[in-house]
Amino acid sequence: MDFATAANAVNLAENFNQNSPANGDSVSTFIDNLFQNGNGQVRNPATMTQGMIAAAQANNDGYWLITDQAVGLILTNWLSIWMDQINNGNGAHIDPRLTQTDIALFRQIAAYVQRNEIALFVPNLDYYGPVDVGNATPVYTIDGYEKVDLFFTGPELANMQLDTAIGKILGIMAFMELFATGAHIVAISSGQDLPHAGQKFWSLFQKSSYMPWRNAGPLNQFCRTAYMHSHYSGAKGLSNLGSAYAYPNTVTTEAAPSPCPFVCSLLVDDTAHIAANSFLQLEGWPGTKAGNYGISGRHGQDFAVHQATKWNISTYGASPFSEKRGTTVFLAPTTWQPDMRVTTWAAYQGAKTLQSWYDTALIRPTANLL
Amino acid sequence: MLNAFSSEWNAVWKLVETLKPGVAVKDQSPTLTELLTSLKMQVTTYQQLVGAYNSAQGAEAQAALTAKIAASLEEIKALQTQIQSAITVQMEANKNAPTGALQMPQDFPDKVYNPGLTDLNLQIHSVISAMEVDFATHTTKPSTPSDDPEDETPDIEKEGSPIKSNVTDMKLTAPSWYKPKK
Repeated sequence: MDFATAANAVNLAENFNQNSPANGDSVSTFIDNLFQNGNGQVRNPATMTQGMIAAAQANNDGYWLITDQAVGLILTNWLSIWMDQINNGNGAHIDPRLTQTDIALFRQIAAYVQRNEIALFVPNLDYYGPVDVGNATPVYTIDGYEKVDLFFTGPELANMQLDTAIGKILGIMAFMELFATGAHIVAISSGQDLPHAGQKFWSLFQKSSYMPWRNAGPLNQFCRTAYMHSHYSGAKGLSNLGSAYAYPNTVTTEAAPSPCPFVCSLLVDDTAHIAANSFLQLEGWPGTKAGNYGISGRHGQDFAVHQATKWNISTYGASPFSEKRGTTVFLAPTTWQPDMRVTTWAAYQGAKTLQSWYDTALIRPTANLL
Repeated sequence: MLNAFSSEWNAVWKLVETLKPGVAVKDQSPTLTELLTSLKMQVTTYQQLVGAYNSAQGAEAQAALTAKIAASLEEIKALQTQIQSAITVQMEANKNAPTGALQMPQDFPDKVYNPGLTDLNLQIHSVISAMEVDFATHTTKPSTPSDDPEDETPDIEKEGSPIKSNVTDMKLTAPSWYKPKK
């Protein structure tokens, strides 16, 4: 994977801390700095748009608002949680400066991937050009998917130096890069897409219910309900009303808390009303402005940049992998085969047919696929 | 031959007859019960059209009925969407109702519980999905006149025609940010 980095990227000190009140090296200060949008600052809309368009033209897989050092500190720590989980570790190698919400999240993702023998499927994109004269929104060609297994076999767990095990660790890093830059990721589990329905990723977050068979998911204690979002039928409001989860529940205002998690705004929901898959996407910041459904404040801050580029924007970067462009990234059982179609690319429950939210002008197949 | 899905729909109507949706939903119009009645009427129409289609002689007669069946199926799907929304609202209302507001099955005395709504939603969805597949597979399409006989541009169906699925192994190298601990 190849990512561009903003010229004025924000750095995280190697000796970062979780002090309260925060100081210059605190995680909360680092996070707050990421939302400064004045001239010359990292989230300045004009600078961001320019940087993301250049990244698209250079065929980059995403755009970082943070320095290489910050990426390394955050993602290496997430990786250490993942590896501790799959090795049944006791957490001794996990950095004590991480919050319990980050630790719980990556433990559960790792366990889900391992349990369901999950692979990562990433659209193979090439920059094609702008939409039109005067409209620089990037258009891509798609030539299928690139796949890497993320789960470890018995021999690999016994010997992590095997080439295949190293390949999977690199795959997990690629997943983390895509996740951190805001790729739209669908976890395939629907019986409409697989011979037998699998475990829903959403089930990790679900609340307990009046249905006696539905117990609370292991991450529910750290969630709150996201009442509305713009993905799938939720864009029309009613059918996904209140079904999404915002993770974690410790980020509730327009300022970073102390201590501060690195995952500040993860959205998880179903892709459909029936036999759904699940999606996950790291957003910039949760909607914290009551009554405005998050269109103001930090949550709405990047809207103009998103409109100009149709890239997703997260806390730490931006990504061309969006369901609205037909460039969804998938976590799916390794046996899954993407069902590619001209109007929906990989068709999956929630996007089996051409949906009103697709912008088909932004993607086209290579001749190789026709 | 088109399928009327009679046994599947009969199973749905049986569920509807015994359904106890739950607490009253204020200002809901049409109500879930009204929507289900409309669905039954529309399904009956569909089944009558299917009967006529299956006994029609010749492709032309079948093609004429195809448009009517398609319109009927669209009506059914529109009702399904409304019913799904009404069920969502009903379930939310049930969930938020004061304890004791619902008549609960004896097996689950401690829960605010109505499995019928979920089952109904799933059954309606699965029958309609099967009807869509059946319709797409077995009907004779009416010919579409074109002003230009050379115009071969096909109608683009919503589903889109399949293209080759190309999955290759991802080639990865260690990212620049990764500094293994020594």
